[in-house]
Amino acid sequence: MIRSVDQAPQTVEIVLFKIGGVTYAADASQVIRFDRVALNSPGDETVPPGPRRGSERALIVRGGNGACLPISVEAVAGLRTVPVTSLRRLPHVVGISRPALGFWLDGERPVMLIDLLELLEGPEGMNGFAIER
Amino acid sequence: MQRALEAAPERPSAAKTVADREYFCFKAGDLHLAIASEHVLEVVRSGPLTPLPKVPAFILGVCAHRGEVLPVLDLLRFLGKGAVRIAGKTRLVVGVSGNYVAGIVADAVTGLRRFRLADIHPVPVSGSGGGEHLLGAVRPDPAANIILLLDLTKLLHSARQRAVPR
Repeated sequence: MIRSVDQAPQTVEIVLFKIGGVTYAADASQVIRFDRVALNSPGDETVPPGPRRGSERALIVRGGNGACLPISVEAVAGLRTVPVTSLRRLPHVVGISRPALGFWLDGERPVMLIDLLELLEGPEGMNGFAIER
Repeated sequence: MQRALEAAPERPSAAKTVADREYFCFKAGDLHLAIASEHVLEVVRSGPLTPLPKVPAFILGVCAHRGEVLPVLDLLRFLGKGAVRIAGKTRLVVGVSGNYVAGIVADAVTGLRRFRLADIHPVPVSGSGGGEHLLGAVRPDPAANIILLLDLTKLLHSARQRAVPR
Protein backbone atom coordinates (compact mmCIF):
# COMPACT_ATOMS: atom_id res chain seq x y z
CA MET A 1 0.00 0.00 0.00
CA ILE A 2 1.39 3.35 -0.97
CA ARG A 3 0.91 6.08 1.56
CA SER A 4 0.42 9.56 0.21
CA VAL A 5 2.94 12.10 1.42
CA ASP A 6 2.82 15.86 1.40
CA GLN A 7 4.80 17.11 -1.54
CA ALA A 8 6.57 20.42 -1.62
CA PRO A 9 4.87 22.93 -3.91
CA GLN A 10 6.23 23.12 -7.42
CA THR A 11 5.30 26.75 -7.89
CA VAL A 12 4.90 29.79 -5.71
CA GLU A 13 3.01 33.02 -6.28
CA ILE A 14 4.98 36.19 -5.84
CA VAL A 15 4.09 39.85 -5.97
CA LEU A 16 6.48 42.22 -7.72
CA PHE A 17 6.87 45.82 -6.62
CA LYS A 18 9.30 48.71 -6.95
CA ILE A 19 11.15 50.67 -4.32
CA GLY A 20 13.72 53.27 -5.32
CA GLY A 21 13.49 52.18 -8.94
CA VAL A 22 14.50 48.61 -8.04
CA THR A 23 12.13 45.67 -8.46
CA TYR A 24 11.63 43.40 -5.47
CA ALA A 25 9.43 40.36 -4.93
CA ALA A 26 7.59 38.88 -1.98
CA ASP A 27 5.41 35.90 -1.18
CA ALA A 28 1.98 36.96 -2.45
CA SER A 29 0.27 35.11 0.41
CA GLN A 30 1.62 37.78 2.78
CA VAL A 31 -0.33 40.50 0.97
CA ILE A 32 -4.00 40.93 1.80
CA ARG A 33 -4.65 43.50 -0.92
CA PHE A 34 -3.12 46.36 -2.87
CA ASP A 35 -4.18 49.89 -2.17
CA ARG A 36 -3.26 53.48 -2.75
CA VAL A 37 -1.23 55.08 0.00
CA ALA A 38 -3.63 57.07 2.17
CA LEU A 39 -1.78 60.20 3.15
CA ASN A 40 -4.36 61.33 5.67
CA SER A 41 -2.46 63.86 7.62
CA PRO A 42 1.09 64.88 8.43
CA GLY A 43 2.57 62.51 10.94
CA ASP A 44 0.20 59.70 10.04
CA GLU A 45 2.07 56.73 11.50
CA THR A 46 0.24 54.13 9.46
CA VAL A 47 2.24 55.17 6.42
CA PRO A 48 5.95 54.42 6.68
CA PRO A 49 8.14 57.45 6.02
CA GLY A 50 10.10 57.56 2.80
CA PRO A 51 10.48 59.39 -0.47
CA ARG A 52 7.11 60.19 -2.04
CA ARG A 53 6.40 60.00 -5.72
CA GLY A 54 3.40 60.69 -7.92
CA SER A 55 1.09 57.72 -7.59
CA GLU A 56 2.30 55.52 -4.80
CA ARG A 57 0.77 52.20 -3.98
CA ALA A 58 0.70 50.20 -0.82
CA LEU A 59 0.85 46.52 -0.08
CA ILE A 60 -1.56 45.83 2.76
CA VAL A 61 -0.03 43.21 5.06
CA ARG A 62 -1.37 41.73 8.28
CA GLY A 63 1.17 42.37 11.00
CA GLY A 64 2.05 40.16 13.93
CA ASN A 65 -0.62 41.80 16.13
CA GLY A 66 -3.32 41.13 13.55
CA ALA A 67 -3.57 44.72 12.38
CA CYS A 68 -3.56 45.48 8.65
CA LEU A 69 -0.61 47.69 7.85
CA PRO A 70 0.39 49.39 4.58
CA ILE A 71 3.85 49.08 3.08
CA SER A 72 4.39 51.99 0.75
CA VAL A 73 5.90 51.13 -2.64
CA GLU A 74 6.40 53.11 -5.83
CA ALA A 75 4.52 50.68 -8.01
CA VAL A 76 3.07 47.20 -7.95
CA ALA A 77 4.32 45.33 -11.00
CA GLY A 78 1.92 42.42 -10.70
CA LEU A 79 1.59 38.84 -9.55
CA ARG A 80 3.54 35.95 -11.04
CA THR A 81 3.39 32.22 -10.48
CA VAL A 82 6.97 31.01 -10.68
CA PRO A 83 8.57 27.57 -10.34
CA VAL A 84 10.41 26.96 -7.09
CA THR A 85 13.38 25.89 -9.20
CA SER A 86 13.82 29.55 -10.18
CA LEU A 87 14.38 30.58 -6.54
CA ARG A 88 17.89 30.96 -5.15
CA ARG A 89 19.39 31.44 -1.69
CA LEU A 90 21.46 34.50 -0.79
CA PRO A 91 25.08 34.15 -1.95
CA HIS A 92 27.61 33.54 0.82
CA VAL A 93 29.68 36.64 0.13
CA VAL A 94 26.67 38.96 0.38
CA GLY A 95 26.13 39.47 4.07
CA ILE A 96 22.57 40.74 3.88
CA SER A 97 20.05 38.82 5.91
CA ARG A 98 16.37 39.20 6.76
CA PRO A 99 14.12 40.67 5.55
CA ALA A 100 16.01 39.53 2.42
CA LEU A 101 15.20 35.86 1.80
CA GLY A 102 16.93 35.14 -1.47
CA PHE A 103 16.33 35.76 -5.14
CA TRP A 104 13.95 34.89 -7.91
CA LEU A 105 15.77 34.46 -11.21
CA ASP A 106 13.73 36.32 -13.79
CA GLY A 107 15.71 34.95 -16.71
CA GLU A 108 19.06 36.77 -16.55
CA ARG A 109 17.91 39.18 -13.86
CA PRO A 110 17.96 38.30 -10.14
CA VAL A 111 15.06 39.85 -8.20
CA MET A 112 15.44 40.03 -4.44
CA LEU A 113 12.79 38.24 -2.37
CA ILE A 114 11.71 40.08 0.77
CA ASP A 115 9.82 38.87 3.83
CA LEU A 116 7.21 41.63 4.19
CA LEU A 117 6.37 40.74 7.80
CA GLU A 118 10.03 41.03 8.80
CA LEU A 119 10.19 44.28 6.89
CA LEU A 120 7.26 45.67 8.86
CA GLU A 121 8.85 44.74 12.16
CA GLY A 122 12.31 46.04 11.25
CA PRO A 123 13.46 49.27 12.85
CA GLU A 124 14.05 51.02 9.54
CA GLY A 125 10.97 49.86 7.64
CA MET A 126 11.12 50.67 3.96
CA ASN A 127 13.83 53.27 4.52
CA GLY A 128 16.26 50.43 5.08
CA PHE A 129 15.72 49.39 1.51
CA ALA A 130 16.65 52.70 -0.06
CA ILE A 131 19.76 51.91 -2.10
CA GLU A 132 22.41 54.56 -1.69
CA ARG A 133 24.98 54.94 -4.44
CA MET B 1 53.44 -7.33 0.36
CA GLN B 2 53.55 -7.68 -3.42
CA ARG B 3 50.38 -5.58 -3.75
CA ALA B 4 51.72 -2.91 -1.42
CA LEU B 5 54.92 -2.64 -3.44
CA GLU B 6 52.96 -2.29 -6.67
CA ALA B 7 50.88 0.53 -5.17
CA ALA B 8 53.90 2.38 -3.78
CA PRO B 9 54.96 5.59 -5.59
CA GLU B 10 58.10 5.68 -7.72
CA ARG B 11 59.65 8.41 -5.59
CA PRO B 12 58.59 10.45 -2.52
CA SER B 13 56.04 13.11 -3.53
CA ALA B 14 57.08 15.38 -0.66
CA ALA B 15 60.32 16.11 -2.45
CA LYS B 16 58.43 17.84 -5.24
CA THR B 17 58.95 21.61 -5.17
CA VAL B 18 57.03 24.31 -6.93
CA ALA B 19 59.21 26.89 -8.65
CA ASP B 20 56.46 28.93 -10.25
CA ARG B 21 52.73 29.45 -10.18
CA GLU B 22 50.14 30.37 -12.77
CA TYR B 23 48.14 33.57 -12.30
CA PHE B 24 45.21 35.09 -14.10
CA CYS B 25 46.04 38.75 -14.80
CA PHE B 26 43.64 41.64 -15.28
CA LYS B 27 43.35 45.38 -14.87
CA ALA B 28 41.00 47.38 -12.67
CA GLY B 29 41.38 51.14 -12.95
CA ASP B 30 45.13 51.80 -12.88
CA LEU B 31 45.88 48.64 -10.93
CA HIS B 32 47.39 45.57 -12.55
CA LEU B 33 46.11 42.61 -10.57
CA ALA B 34 46.38 38.83 -10.63
CA ILE B 35 44.64 35.89 -8.98
CA ALA B 36 46.07 32.37 -8.75
CA SER B 37 44.53 30.56 -11.70
CA GLU B 38 43.12 27.72 -9.59
CA HIS B 39 40.75 30.27 -8.01
CA VAL B 40 39.41 31.56 -11.34
CA LEU B 41 36.46 29.70 -12.83
CA GLU B 42 36.01 31.82 -15.93
CA VAL B 43 35.68 35.32 -17.31
CA VAL B 44 32.28 36.52 -18.47
CA ARG B 45 30.63 39.65 -19.74
CA SER B 46 28.88 41.66 -17.07
CA GLY B 47 25.14 41.00 -17.34
CA PRO B 48 22.40 43.21 -15.94
CA LEU B 49 23.18 44.03 -12.33
CA THR B 50 20.58 44.01 -9.58
CA PRO B 51 21.63 46.51 -6.90
CA LEU B 52 21.30 45.42 -3.27
CA PRO B 53 20.15 47.35 -0.24
CA LYS B 54 22.11 47.43 3.01
CA VAL B 55 25.44 46.34 1.58
CA PRO B 56 28.79 48.14 1.42
CA ALA B 57 29.46 50.15 -1.75
CA PHE B 58 32.08 47.64 -2.95
CA ILE B 59 29.29 45.12 -3.57
CA LEU B 60 27.87 46.52 -6.79
CA GLY B 61 25.00 44.06 -6.84
CA VAL B 62 24.27 40.61 -8.15
CA CYS B 63 23.85 39.14 -11.60
CA ALA B 64 22.75 35.79 -12.92
CA HIS B 65 25.56 33.44 -13.85
CA ARG B 66 24.92 29.92 -15.11
CA GLY B 67 21.65 29.71 -13.22
CA GLU B 68 23.08 31.01 -9.95
CA VAL B 69 23.19 34.41 -8.30
CA LEU B 70 26.66 35.93 -8.46
CA PRO B 71 27.68 38.83 -6.22
CA VAL B 72 29.73 41.42 -8.10
CA LEU B 73 32.61 43.13 -6.32
CA ASP B 74 34.40 46.38 -7.13
CA LEU B 75 37.98 45.76 -6.01
CA LEU B 76 38.91 49.42 -6.37
CA ARG B 77 36.27 50.40 -3.83
CA PHE B 78 37.22 47.47 -1.61
CA LEU B 79 40.88 48.47 -1.63
CA GLY B 80 40.10 52.18 -1.32
CA LYS B 81 41.58 52.97 -4.74
CA GLY B 82 38.60 54.65 -6.42
CA ALA B 83 35.76 53.00 -8.26
CA VAL B 84 35.33 50.99 -11.45
CA ARG B 85 33.09 52.09 -14.29
CA ILE B 86 30.88 49.45 -15.85
CA ALA B 87 31.21 49.75 -19.64
CA GLY B 88 30.86 47.59 -22.72
CA LYS B 89 34.32 46.10 -22.31
CA THR B 90 33.86 45.36 -18.64
CA ARG B 91 34.35 41.72 -17.73
CA LEU B 92 33.74 39.74 -14.57
CA VAL B 93 36.47 37.46 -13.31
CA VAL B 94 34.53 34.70 -11.55
CA GLY B 95 36.63 33.80 -8.52
CA VAL B 96 36.00 30.94 -6.12
CA SER B 97 37.35 29.96 -2.74
CA GLY B 98 35.51 27.19 -0.91
CA ASN B 99 31.82 28.14 -0.71
CA TYR B 100 32.53 31.74 -1.67
CA VAL B 101 32.04 32.72 -5.29
CA ALA B 102 32.10 36.27 -6.60
CA GLY B 103 32.49 38.18 -9.82
CA ILE B 104 35.30 40.73 -9.73
CA VAL B 105 34.99 43.64 -12.11
CA ALA B 106 37.87 43.90 -14.59
CA ASP B 107 38.38 46.78 -17.02
CA ALA B 108 40.69 44.63 -19.14
CA VAL B 109 41.86 41.03 -19.09
CA THR B 110 45.53 40.28 -19.72
CA GLY B 111 45.34 36.52 -19.47
CA LEU B 112 47.32 33.71 -17.85
CA ARG B 113 50.97 34.19 -16.87
CA ARG B 114 53.43 32.14 -14.89
CA PHE B 115 55.51 33.87 -12.24
CA ARG B 116 58.54 32.39 -10.53
CA LEU B 117 58.07 32.35 -6.77
CA ALA B 118 61.53 33.86 -6.42
CA ASP B 119 60.35 36.94 -8.36
CA ILE B 120 57.42 37.63 -6.04
CA HIS B 121 58.15 40.35 -3.52
CA PRO B 122 56.26 41.03 -0.30
CA VAL B 123 54.14 44.16 0.00
CA PRO B 124 53.65 46.27 3.11
CA VAL B 125 50.64 45.07 5.10
CA SER B 126 50.03 48.25 7.05
CA GLY B 127 48.19 51.26 5.72
CA SER B 128 45.00 51.66 3.73
CA GLY B 129 46.28 50.10 0.53
CA GLY B 130 44.74 46.70 1.21
CA GLY B 131 48.15 45.08 1.61
CA GLU B 132 46.72 42.39 3.88
CA HIS B 133 44.79 41.06 0.88
CA LEU B 134 47.87 40.69 -1.29
CA LEU B 135 50.17 37.69 -1.56
CA GLY B 136 52.88 39.89 -3.00
CA ALA B 137 53.88 41.88 -6.05
CA VAL B 138 55.81 41.00 -9.16
CA ARG B 139 57.36 42.98 -12.00
CA PRO B 140 57.64 40.53 -14.92
CA ASP B 141 60.33 42.64 -16.60
CA PRO B 142 61.94 46.01 -15.86
CA ALA B 143 59.73 47.85 -18.36
CA ALA B 144 56.48 46.26 -17.17
CA ASN B 145 53.99 47.50 -14.60
CA ILE B 146 53.98 46.00 -11.13
CA ILE B 147 51.34 43.31 -10.79
CA LEU B 148 49.68 42.87 -7.41
CA LEU B 149 48.91 39.26 -6.55
CA LEU B 150 45.60 39.00 -4.73
CA ASP B 151 44.93 36.59 -1.88
CA LEU B 152 41.43 35.73 -3.07
CA THR B 153 40.57 33.53 -0.10
CA LYS B 154 41.36 36.30 2.36
CA LEU B 155 39.71 38.90 0.16
CA LEU B 156 36.39 37.04 -0.12
CA HIS B 157 36.31 36.32 3.60
CA SER B 158 37.03 39.98 4.37
CA ALA B 159 34.32 41.05 1.92
CA ARG B 160 31.88 38.77 3.69
CA GLN B 161 32.88 40.11 7.11
CA ARG B 162 32.49 43.70 5.97
CA ALA B 163 29.15 42.95 4.34
CA VAL B 164 27.56 41.28 7.36
CA PRO B 165 25.52 43.84 9.30
CA ARG B 166 26.73 44.33 12.85
